[in-house]
Amino acid sequence: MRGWLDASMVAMTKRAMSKEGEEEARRLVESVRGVPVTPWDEGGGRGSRYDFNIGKDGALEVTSLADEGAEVVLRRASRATTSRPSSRLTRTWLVMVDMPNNFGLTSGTPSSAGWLTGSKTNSWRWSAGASRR
Amino acid sequence: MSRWSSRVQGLCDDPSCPFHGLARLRVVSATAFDVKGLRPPEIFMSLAHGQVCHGPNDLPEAIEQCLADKPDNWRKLQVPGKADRQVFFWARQSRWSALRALRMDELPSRAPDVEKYGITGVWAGILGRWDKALFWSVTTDWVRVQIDENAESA
Repeated sequence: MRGWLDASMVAMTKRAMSKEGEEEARRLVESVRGVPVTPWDEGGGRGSRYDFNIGKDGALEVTSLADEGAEVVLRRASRATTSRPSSRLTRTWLVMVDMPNNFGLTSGTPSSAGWLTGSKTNSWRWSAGASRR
Repeated sequence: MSRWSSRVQGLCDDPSCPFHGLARLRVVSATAFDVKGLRPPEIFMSLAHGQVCHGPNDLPEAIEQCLADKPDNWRKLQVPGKADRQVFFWARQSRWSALRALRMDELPSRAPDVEKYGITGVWAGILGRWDKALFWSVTTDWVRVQIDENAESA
């Protein structure tokens, strides 16, 4: 399913993902726990480089809850679907919207999701949930 | 489906064209991207179509899967002298069901199976919403936490 992703693409994504959110996590944990949360190398850590010390006895690793291969695909998809003139996109378009409250389009629960799709020949249509796709 | 299938037959007569594979898989919506180095073209399942969130417990499930997939995250924490080992997860779009679970009012009803990794606490937040998260430990179970703005400005 994602065998086509070459190793360098996944490695790049891993690096980008490993940094993002570290400082934000540190601030949140420090605020909630009420103890200093300091970078690993300030706590005399050896060997494995986890991200932060929580007080004296705690260690914190910050990471992404993500599928790395899928992240690469999503980035590609995001680039491909960014609005821009393109001679290739002349037949149809597809817009996927994650709408927590559906903006009043349906009476779904707040947690439902759906999609708006449209094309040159069909007007916009709302599809709720997975079962109707 | 048959009408769609006959349409794509007309669009593409090359037997290696992915359209035919998609039709066999009964795919009703597909998007093609130019990807350098993608030889031959392969079909992958879309991430945004038809993903289902079963409820808040999709969160611990995603956490367990992530720890199993990336053992570095818990191995790094196995350090002498650090009894309290915690992992902070920022959920991204590719773990869609976990994102949905994090947005629900209801908290997960089960603990993540992380003690086997020596992990004592788990944080889970939505990437970009930096001020709040869910926290789990054996003693607290799942709780909502957020930055204490008063303490921050004090």
